[in-house]
Amino acid sequence: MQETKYNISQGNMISKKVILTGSFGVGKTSLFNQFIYNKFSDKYLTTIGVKVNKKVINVDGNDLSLLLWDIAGEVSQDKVPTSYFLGASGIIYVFDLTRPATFRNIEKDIQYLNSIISGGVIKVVGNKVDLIDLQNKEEILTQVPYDVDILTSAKTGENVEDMFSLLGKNLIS
Amino acid sequence: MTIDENKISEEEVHLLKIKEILLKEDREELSILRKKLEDEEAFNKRLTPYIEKHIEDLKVNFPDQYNEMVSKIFDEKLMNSRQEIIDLLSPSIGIMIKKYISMQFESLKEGIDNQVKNTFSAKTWKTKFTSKFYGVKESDLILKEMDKYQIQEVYLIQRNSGLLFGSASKSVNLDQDVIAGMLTAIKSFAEDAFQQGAQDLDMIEYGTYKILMQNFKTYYLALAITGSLSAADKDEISNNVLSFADRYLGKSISNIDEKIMEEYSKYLNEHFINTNARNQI
Ligand SMILES: Nc1nc2c(ncn2[C@@H]2O[C@H](COP(=O)(O)OP(=O)(O)OP(=O)(O)O)[C@@H](O)[C@H]2O)c(=O)[nH]1
Ligand SMILES: [Mg+2]
Repeated sequence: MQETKYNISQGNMISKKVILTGSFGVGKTSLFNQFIYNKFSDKYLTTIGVKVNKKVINVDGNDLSLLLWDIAGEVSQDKVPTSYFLGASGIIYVFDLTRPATFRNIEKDIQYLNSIISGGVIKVVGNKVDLIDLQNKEEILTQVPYDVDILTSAKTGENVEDMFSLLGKNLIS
Repeated sequence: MTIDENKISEEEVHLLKIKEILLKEDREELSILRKKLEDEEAFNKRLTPYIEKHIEDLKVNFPDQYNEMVSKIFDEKLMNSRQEIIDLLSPSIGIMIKKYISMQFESLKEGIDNQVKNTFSAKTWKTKFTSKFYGVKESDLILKEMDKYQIQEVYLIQRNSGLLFGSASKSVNLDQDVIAGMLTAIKSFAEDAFQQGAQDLDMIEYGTYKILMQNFKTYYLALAITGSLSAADKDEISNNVLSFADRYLGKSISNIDEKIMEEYSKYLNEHFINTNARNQI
């Protein structure tokens, strides 16, 4: 008789669902790829539907298994099935620091997301920080109508790990 | 016209007489016209050519003149009654699909029946004997023997989040968490896109795999199956899933951790995978 394999564990790792959302082209997939595979590409391949992947991170000595849902960016929220967000413990809302159109509706969007996953953690992330210089940074941030949690670059990897750790901490506490 | 001379003055009588003389011709013409108008048949006869001409005209020019207006009305009506149209169409589309499938099945069976006629192996004779004895069609028996279904993998998944409670499979598979997530995404998408009442997606076919899904309130079970599945097989699997749920899934779970996953994976393995392997020896 053949031996059957099933999950075997050492610690007691918790699993959490996390969604990457935001307008198209802001760099959700790039952040996902940088975080999971340490890779970046200049090519833009728009995400169709959704891609799910997993990464285990360590938060204060505990393993946490993040199931990341990278969903296609849509200009209007009602094109994304609401059910994708259900059961998510965390949401990463990404916008592009170089495209004001991607942060103009941030307030409305966050309000909507809060209504779907009440009590979940939402992080607001300004991406493509490598494309703006220091002077512009302050200027742009004053235009963003919401508190930004962290600025990242999927290209250089700046703050990518930190962003997920920050989220992880919030998910566990 | 007669004049009542008792009631009106002399002057008036004169006036009327003058009127009569002056207007005589006009009055006659008027009465002829009136007659013509009152004679329906004659009137129609005269009018018909004009109406016909107008209709001809409309036939040629209607699209130009009214197209926009009509299509706007039509669009609006269509939009407003989308649901009714879907309701109206879906049963007949369903029937068409069913017909097509049963036709395909018939021809498949015909092919097998022919093969049976032409083969005289010992096995065929044995099958023939069994079929005579039990009254089952030979082709059914052969089909069954060839392709008994096998449960290759089983997943117990939290319904909303797509997080894995546990899984078991016949072969090593490292990506169970990811598969559970993607399955849930596909399921959500399909249920969202083809919203029809409260229908759930219950089967996906992928290559030689069929993935059967059975929903419960907060979780669902997904079974990856190879081989052919008859309605009776599906029933059998469904009952098997129900007995699993009855036995192990009483309590609700909010936090999924490794201990829980290990426990459920063990149950799944014992209930679906190893039992299955044992039965086949
Ligand atoms: N310079 C720079 N370019 C970036 C960065 N992140 C993403 N890009 C580029 O921006 C483009 C879009 O990136 P994606 O990651 O595909 O964007 P997305 O949000 O997944 O887009 P959709 O899937 O269409 O919603 C690509 O050409 C990336 O190379 C960044 O941090 N810096
Ligand atoms: Mg993408």
